[in-house]
Amino acid sequence: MTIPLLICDDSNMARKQVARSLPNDWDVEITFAKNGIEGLEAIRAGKGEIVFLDLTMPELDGYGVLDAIKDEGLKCVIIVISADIQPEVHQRVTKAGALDFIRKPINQDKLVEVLQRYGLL
Amino acid sequence: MVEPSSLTQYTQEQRDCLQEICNIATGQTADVLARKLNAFVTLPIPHIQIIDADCLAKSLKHVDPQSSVYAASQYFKGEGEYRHINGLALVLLSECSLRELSASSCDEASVAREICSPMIQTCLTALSEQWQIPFSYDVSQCLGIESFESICRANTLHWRKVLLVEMHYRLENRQFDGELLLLFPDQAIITMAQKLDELLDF
Repeated sequence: MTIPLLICDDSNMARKQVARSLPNDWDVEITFAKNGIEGLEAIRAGKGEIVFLDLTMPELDGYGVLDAIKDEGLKCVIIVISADIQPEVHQRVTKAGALDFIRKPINQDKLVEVLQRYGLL
Repeated sequence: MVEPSSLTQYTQEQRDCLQEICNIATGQTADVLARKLNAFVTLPIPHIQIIDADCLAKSLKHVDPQSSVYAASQYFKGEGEYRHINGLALVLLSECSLRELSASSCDEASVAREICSPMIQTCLTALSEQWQIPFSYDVSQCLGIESFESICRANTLHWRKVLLVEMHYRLENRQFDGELLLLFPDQAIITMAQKLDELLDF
C-alpha cells in the first residue's frame, strides 16, 4: 500500500534533501508543504500519514503544527527534522507528540536508521 | 529602482540554498550558546542581504549604529581555489547582555574568549562543512566596547558591497541580546554564488 508522506519545510533545498534521502524502494506518495498552514491542510486532507516536519517556518512553525495535530486529534506519525539541535528541543517536540527528532543536514543513513527503529520501513 | 537590501545578484535558488546553510549554522551556534549559558536559545531565522558597504552600519535590525556594543571579531578565508571566499565574523553584545554574562557565567574580560569565540568558531565550522571548503583563520580579537559604526569603519574600509548575514540570538527567560554577523566582501559574494550553484547541482 502506498503511504501518503508529507515533507513540510520552508526551504526548497531542505525539502529536496529530505526527498532525496528517502529509501529508493519505499512505496510513498510525496506531498510538499512550504509552511505550517500548508502542512496542516495536507494532513487534514489525508496526505500525511508520515510527516517530516521542520520547526522554524513562517506563517505557522513546527510547534504550532504539533499543537494543532494534537488539538484536532489528527492521526499521523511526525518526525521533526530541524537545525535547532539544542537538547531541549528534542524533549519539547517529543513531548508535543513527535515520534523523534533528526538534526539537519539530513542524509539517507540517518533517515533510514530512524525509520527502521520505529518499524516504519 | 532596485531595492538596496535585497539579494538582487543572487537567484531565488541561490538565496534559498544560502539561507538553509545559514539556518544550520545558526542552529549549531545556538546549541553552543545554550550549553555555555545553560539556557534555552530562541532560534532566529538569519537575515541575509547584499548592501553597499557604506550602508552597513545602518543595516542591522537590532543594533543602533551609534550605541556602544561589546564586540569580538575574526577574519576567515577559504583555502586553495576558494581563497576568494573570505570574510569577517563579528559577535556584538549589548552592554546589558555583557553585564548579565559577566554576572552569571564569567568575568567581563573573558566573555570574548569563553562565549564569543566559541560562537564564531562553531558558526564558521558549520559553514565550512556544508560548503566543503576548508577555512583558515586569523587570530580572533576582542574589540572591547565600541559603536558598530566605528567597527564598520575600521574593518570594511575598501569594501564596496557586503553580503551580510545577521543572526540575532535571544535567551528564553533571560536578559540577553547577541548578534552574530557574517560579512562577505565583493569578490567573495561572486565566488559564493558559484559555490552555491555547485551545491545545487550536486
